[in-house]
Amino acid sequence: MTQPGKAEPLLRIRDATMEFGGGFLSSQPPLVALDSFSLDLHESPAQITTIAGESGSGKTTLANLVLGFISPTQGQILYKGVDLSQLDRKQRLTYRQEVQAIFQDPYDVFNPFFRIQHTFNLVMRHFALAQDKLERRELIEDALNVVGLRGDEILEKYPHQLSGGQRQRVMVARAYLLRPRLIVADEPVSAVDASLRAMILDIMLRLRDEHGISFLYITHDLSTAYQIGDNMIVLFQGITAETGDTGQIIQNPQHPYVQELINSIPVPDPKIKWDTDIRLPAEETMRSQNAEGAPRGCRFYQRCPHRMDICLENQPPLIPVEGQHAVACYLYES
Amino acid sequence: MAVGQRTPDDASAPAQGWGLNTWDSPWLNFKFLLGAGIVLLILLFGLVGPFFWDTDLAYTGAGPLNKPPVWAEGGLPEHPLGTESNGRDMLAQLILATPSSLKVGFLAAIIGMGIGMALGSVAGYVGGWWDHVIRTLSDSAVTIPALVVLVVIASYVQMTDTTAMALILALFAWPGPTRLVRSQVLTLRERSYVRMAHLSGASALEIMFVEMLPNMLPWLAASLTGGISAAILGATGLEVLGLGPTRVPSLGLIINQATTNAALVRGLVWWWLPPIIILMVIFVGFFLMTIGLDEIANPRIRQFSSTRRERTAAGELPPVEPVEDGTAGEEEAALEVDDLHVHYFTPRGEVIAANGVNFSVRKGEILGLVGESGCGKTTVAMAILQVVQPPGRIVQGAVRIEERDLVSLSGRDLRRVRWRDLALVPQGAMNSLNPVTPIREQMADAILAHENIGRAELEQRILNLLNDVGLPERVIDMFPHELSGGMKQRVCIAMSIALNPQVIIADEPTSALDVVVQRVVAQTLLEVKERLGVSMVMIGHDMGLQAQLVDRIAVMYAGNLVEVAPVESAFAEPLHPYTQLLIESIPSIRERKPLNVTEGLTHDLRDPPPGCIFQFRCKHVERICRERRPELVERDDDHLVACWLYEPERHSLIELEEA
Repeated sequence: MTQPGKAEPLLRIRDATMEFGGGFLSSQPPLVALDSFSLDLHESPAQITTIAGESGSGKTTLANLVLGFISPTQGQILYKGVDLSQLDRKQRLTYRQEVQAIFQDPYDVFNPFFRIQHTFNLVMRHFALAQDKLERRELIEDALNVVGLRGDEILEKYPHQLSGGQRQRVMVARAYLLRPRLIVADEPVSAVDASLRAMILDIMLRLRDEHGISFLYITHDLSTAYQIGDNMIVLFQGITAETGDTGQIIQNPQHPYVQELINSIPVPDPKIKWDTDIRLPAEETMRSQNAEGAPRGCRFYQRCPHRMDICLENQPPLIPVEGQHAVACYLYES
Repeated sequence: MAVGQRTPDDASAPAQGWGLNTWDSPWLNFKFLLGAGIVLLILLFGLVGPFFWDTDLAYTGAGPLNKPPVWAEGGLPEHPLGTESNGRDMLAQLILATPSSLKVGFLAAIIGMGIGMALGSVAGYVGGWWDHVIRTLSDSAVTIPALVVLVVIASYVQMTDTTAMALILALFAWPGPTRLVRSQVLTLRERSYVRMAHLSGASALEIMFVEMLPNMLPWLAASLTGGISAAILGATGLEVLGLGPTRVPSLGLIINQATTNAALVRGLVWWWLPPIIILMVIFVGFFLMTIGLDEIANPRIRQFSSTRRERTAAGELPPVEPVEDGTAGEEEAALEVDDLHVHYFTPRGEVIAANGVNFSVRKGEILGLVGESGCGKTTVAMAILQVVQPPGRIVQGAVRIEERDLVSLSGRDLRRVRWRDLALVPQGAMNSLNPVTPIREQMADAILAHENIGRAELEQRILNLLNDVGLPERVIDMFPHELSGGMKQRVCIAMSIALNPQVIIADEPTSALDVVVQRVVAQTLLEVKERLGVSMVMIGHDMGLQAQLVDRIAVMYAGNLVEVAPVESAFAEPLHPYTQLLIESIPSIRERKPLNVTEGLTHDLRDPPPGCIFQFRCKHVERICRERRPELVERDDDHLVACWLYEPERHSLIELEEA
């Protein structure tokens, strides 16, 4: 996916694998939360890249890797060409400033002990964004305006005095204040109501279009991803199942898992009822990824309606189907 | 994980807004203040005493021997609390001994707390081998019998002053705080605000002291007060045994000397009793502080202790008069909810979570109850089941199954009705099953509580139920943790139909599940309904799921029903502006459409506006909407809506009123 001649991608993830547990004192094999994941994210044009997957798919692990909360067991994560573990002090500060996050729960992102002001003071101080008090206030006011809030309405209040919508917007304003290049949005709308959901998604679009901020939109909800996303990667049990343009994947899913996923989204029309009922063959196996040693074959084998013998041998590589669109499935091997 | 989190739903939200959030005055806890006052008084006695009384009398022994206190026969005014066998003044001794005993306690507990905070935060924050080592150490330290070891140490170490004593006691004062701080740090570090601080460039120390510490203060304080009294107890124990510093007065030493001089036998009550009384008062003071602090740290304790009061208050409610309404009587209803009012009595005012909710569930239908969080849908479900949690209370209304009003039923009658007539499929099944009992027993319990049947029949019945929800028979011997989320939820469905109920209340039954599993569970519910002809109330916020599952849909906004209609006409032709908004804002995977951005709930639930509840967000708002609340009226075939738009006479109505 690298484009020759262009500058280093903003974020490059090369074969990142993340294993949990399974130390030499443990009798259990390690849990592979993310397996050989690769991704290139370019600075311009700014894009919203969706990482879609269900619980246990490894999407939150990926978010934690990109934010530097954890380091990959194998592989590399490069920010502007430098490995995250090799950043010097100055580069580290830049990376901290330029890669920001919005989290899922608008109730938990504020320390209940402090006024809202504290959230802004923290970043102001650590990144030395302003020279004096006046400039500081102006910057905060400006950031709040982007999300449609006013400083005198909220800065002196405690978190519990704000509505869920205000809180989530304050978090976006906080991220924006740092002028980040990339925002990792970890399920930013799955705990909020319909009206608020639209507002947050709209702000994300505006930040992308007007301020050139890229997003890693991490979600289990394909419909909102379809509404705002540019590219998409669908994860299944730590493996990239399908990757490509959001529209392509949603309209024309290729991987049997992604097809199943999209078919399971309830259609908001009482006249179009779900087609024939589905049965999960051996549902327990969904959890037993590592029960009998790491499987060599395709992780979806047990549930796949098209399974073939070859699928038991190896995890299928990503096979390009059309343009950027690629699928990890032997069905598409020519 | 993303989907597993329960959204703070409904007006019961104070549950998360209390405690630390109401930072206005959490320390104004009566027990804490009373305890602190007691401790302060004792401390003052020791601190101020020397200014009013000659404390040298504690050493000199110049006075007369064995004199009782001044109020007893033979007492002397110059020795108000009497003297002992060496002629030393008791009051002077107590004035000196009290602060020194307190000092040992404070010092030992503070040293222990300091060590605990350092070790605990390293263990919790750094983790890995550090955590391993520290945890093993502190866990094993807890199992050592402290007093025995103290006695051994104290017999070898010559203690000259209280500081030495405190240091030795601190050996046993650190494991508690260490374990506390470690667990607190482990919990707090996963909190989003701590991660946010990390992203804001805060250092580990700053995160520990600025972000985490204030949020564990009440816990730390409770641990400290508990630690102080434990240390005083330990110190006194050693002193009584004569193992403490012998030149420094202490309460334990007084008791020690009294016992060695056989004060008990000789009837010198004023010698040994006063130090014991002072110790008791100190312990009571610290105990009150500790439980007060516990309540400050866990506001739920206080909530729980107020539970009883609220319950009795609910029991004294006047009988509810039946209200006639248009919805009943037309078709056979399995469940009727009649003019239901539920209020939450929070410290910050009365939240109206359900305001005159009226609907009925017909036999064999699924009624969807939808709305955004805080709209009161879960409150209505809880009210139907008669399990509204305090500070909430049904203040008015009736819930009827077969003409019986559940609101007026007694506890025992209610238990009989639950499960048998009315069953619940809870939200997040993973939390509602008992993790330590196999599925067989959990299901058997539910059945046997209401029916008396033999073993073989019971077994067959359970297997049939599992089969009904599409689970393999071997699930019967499995434990909840061996099942996936979807399977657990299906076990809950099997339990809910175990007694052939008339009505099942399903509270967001699929909200914590992945889409594929959600679909399987939803289809299980549909099959169960088809096969058993049971009626259901399906609480939810996912309009897509509602479209797939329900027969009729009831839309709630801020405690009020705004529209009730067959699902087809509700989606094809939603009448209420709020329903229109809900349907328009469903994200689609069929077409990309512009986002429909609106404000969320705009008014305070404690203070609903007069007139229409939706007026602040409505595009079509008119004058009458601000003045008079629209009633839920049938505007179309079986399609009810509470909106003035569909009242052609609305303009003349308001003119009429003015005239």
